[in-house]
Amino acid sequence: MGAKQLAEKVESILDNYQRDQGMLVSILQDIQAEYNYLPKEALVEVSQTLGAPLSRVYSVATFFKAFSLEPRGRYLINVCLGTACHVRGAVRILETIERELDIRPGKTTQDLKFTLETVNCVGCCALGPVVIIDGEYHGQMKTDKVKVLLENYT
Amino acid sequence: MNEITLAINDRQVKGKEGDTVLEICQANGIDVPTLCHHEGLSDVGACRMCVVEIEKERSPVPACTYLARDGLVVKTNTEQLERYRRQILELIFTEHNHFCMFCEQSEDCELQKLAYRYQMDNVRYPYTFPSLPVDALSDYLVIDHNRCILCGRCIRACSEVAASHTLDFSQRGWKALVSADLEQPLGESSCTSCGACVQACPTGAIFSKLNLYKGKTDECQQIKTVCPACGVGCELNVLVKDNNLVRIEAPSLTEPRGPLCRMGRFRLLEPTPPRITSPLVRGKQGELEECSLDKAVQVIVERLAEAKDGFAGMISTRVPNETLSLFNKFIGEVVGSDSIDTRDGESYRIISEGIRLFQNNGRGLDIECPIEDILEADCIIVVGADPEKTNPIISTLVRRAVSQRKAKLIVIDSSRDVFPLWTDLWLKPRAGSEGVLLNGLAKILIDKGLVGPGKAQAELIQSLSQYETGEVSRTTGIENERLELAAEMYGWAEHGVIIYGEGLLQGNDASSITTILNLANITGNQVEGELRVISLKPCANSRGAWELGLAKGIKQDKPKGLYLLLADERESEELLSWLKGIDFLVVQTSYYSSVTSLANVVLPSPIWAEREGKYVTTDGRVLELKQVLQPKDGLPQDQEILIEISKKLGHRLS
Repeated sequence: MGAKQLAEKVESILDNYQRDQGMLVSILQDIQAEYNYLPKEALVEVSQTLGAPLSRVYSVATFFKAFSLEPRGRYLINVCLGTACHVRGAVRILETIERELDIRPGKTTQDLKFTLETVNCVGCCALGPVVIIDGEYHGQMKTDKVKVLLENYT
Repeated sequence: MNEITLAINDRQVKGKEGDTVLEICQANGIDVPTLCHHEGLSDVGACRMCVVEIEKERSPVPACTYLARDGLVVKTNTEQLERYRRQILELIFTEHNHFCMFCEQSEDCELQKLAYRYQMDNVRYPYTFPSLPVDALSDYLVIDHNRCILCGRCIRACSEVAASHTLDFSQRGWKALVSADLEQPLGESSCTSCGACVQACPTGAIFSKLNLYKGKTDECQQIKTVCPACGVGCELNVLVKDNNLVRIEAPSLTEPRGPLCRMGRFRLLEPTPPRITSPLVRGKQGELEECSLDKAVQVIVERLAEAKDGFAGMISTRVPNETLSLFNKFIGEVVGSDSIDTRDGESYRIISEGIRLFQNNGRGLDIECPIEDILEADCIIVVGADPEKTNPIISTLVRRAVSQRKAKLIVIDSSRDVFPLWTDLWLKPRAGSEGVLLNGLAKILIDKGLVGPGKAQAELIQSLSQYETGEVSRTTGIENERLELAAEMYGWAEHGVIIYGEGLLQGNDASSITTILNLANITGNQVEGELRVISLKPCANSRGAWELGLAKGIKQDKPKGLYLLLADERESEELLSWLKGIDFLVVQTSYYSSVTSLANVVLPSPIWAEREGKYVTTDGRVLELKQVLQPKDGLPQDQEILIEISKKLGHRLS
């Protein structure tokens, strides 16, 4: 991705919001949607074009969990560690996934395929333990089902 | 403002509508503990130390953000509140690593003082012992996140006072940190090292390397003086212990000349070259040898008695008026020479010629406006100046006008944009064509009718006729549209300020200065004979020296003999090359340098902290430089040496 392309893309996103400082969160959301993360160059571009201090842009970008400053995988895995899932062995599920992908929660695999996150209850406790991959819910997970499940995502 | 009455701790007190409860408490001498509140910064109610009980409020509220109303009933010191405050302190202590015995700020720490006040002899919560980074890579500043209580005072000082906007919170919750720009080390960020954050920090989280372990506030004597670093004339609060400089602070962070900059706050404390502690005379082998003052004076007197003509005097404008006028008399009456100049005399001759060409009404430098005017501006043009380098407070004021008042900022500079993060329009004329550009702007303003009624006189219109926009564009290399945009920005502004500096003076072109004054005049940027124009003068007392008439100029290309009173000004390449080839050179200076190695006689001189006298600021205010240190080794003042030499030559100077 060239610096020029990135600048042009960010410019066009900023134009969609009339370069309004008050729309910072929406602007960052659009950039995140475009690149799956917030490249630092994009933050600098946003700061300069909006006339907003870089520290402020960074502050907002790091405040919300929805934003990531590191490249994210194509698929986002959320392992529920809520109480119901926990008592049904969610931690072991998580450990299996960690071993399978060789990453810790919050990290992304080297081939940029998966990003692993944990979440504290998603509200479908009857299905627990639950693993959500890119919005798809996989209930009653078992450790020996993990490998097969991950292989479905290519 | 309507007056309101409220009951605080069963006492009737008065305040103004719009005051916070905390302000009224403080005004009436009612003590409410605070941590995240700082005089002159906005309030955020983050620390909850100032919680008070207010009748009909269901829970305690922070006094610093609660607006007072008529008839409020407030309690500030109930047992429950005291318990809450102690609990908050305990939580703050467990959150990061506050270990006073390792902290330089111990005894000067607001957090520590509160812990003593609330008799915090134990903490009922487990410590979290996070491992947080320490950033010590900047020249002057250190941030130790382990001692940070996240009160946000530094962040508010950075944005509201310094208008740097370098610091802000990053992350959130227990991961939250104060960080610079993209969580960069301070030294690599947009930080200007002004040190406002150091003064705002209640703990030892942000501190300066230059203040470390020199002394506690209570052990120090505090002396108010004026900053010798540039001509803005900021007040300094200098802390001194055992005849050593400990720390320099701003008496108030909120005054326009208050916040100080790296030059005033830190650079004055930096290690200096070795001091000259005794007169030196060049001996037979050509080496400088220490000698008595009598001997050195004798050498000078002999030389002066031998041949007075071709002798000149030059003086630094870092010295106060008293020294300047004595030096003036010394060169004029004792040496009998009319060849006298200041180190920055050339700048003066260009500026004053520019003012004379504009309007020969004898106002001289008084035609310029006070620097506080920048804060009121809605359009600022910075031409041929780099205030961040030469006068950082001017640059702070410009940034404040841009960030707080949405002022438009136009930079005219042939090499670089001096406010890269703040400029609305950067005009980059070819080097040397600044004058043409300014005249071009004046012509566009007149052509577009953006001038005050009756301001553009026929004579001026006539003289500008050669500056057609197309022609100006060709000469300067700037497109027509940009020239017109700049003219419109300035022309439509109600309060336009022009700041110019050495870049323009080096061009040796007084007419550019006349054009700047014309620009301000025709657009009506004028109040009671003052134009909204500011020239950045090179030294702390440049204006004082110029007004005393010391910048006459040295008549010869190279005088035969020169008395150079350099004081604590540092040498420059340009000075050195000029000094080479002068037959007989007397240098009165504080430090050993390449200049002293050229001299025939070297005399000692006190540094800024050892002198006293009057300074005239860049905008003409007279301020008092106080003596904060006793001269090193009992060295004489500059004047005493001048008087001594005069006495030997049979003159009485006073």
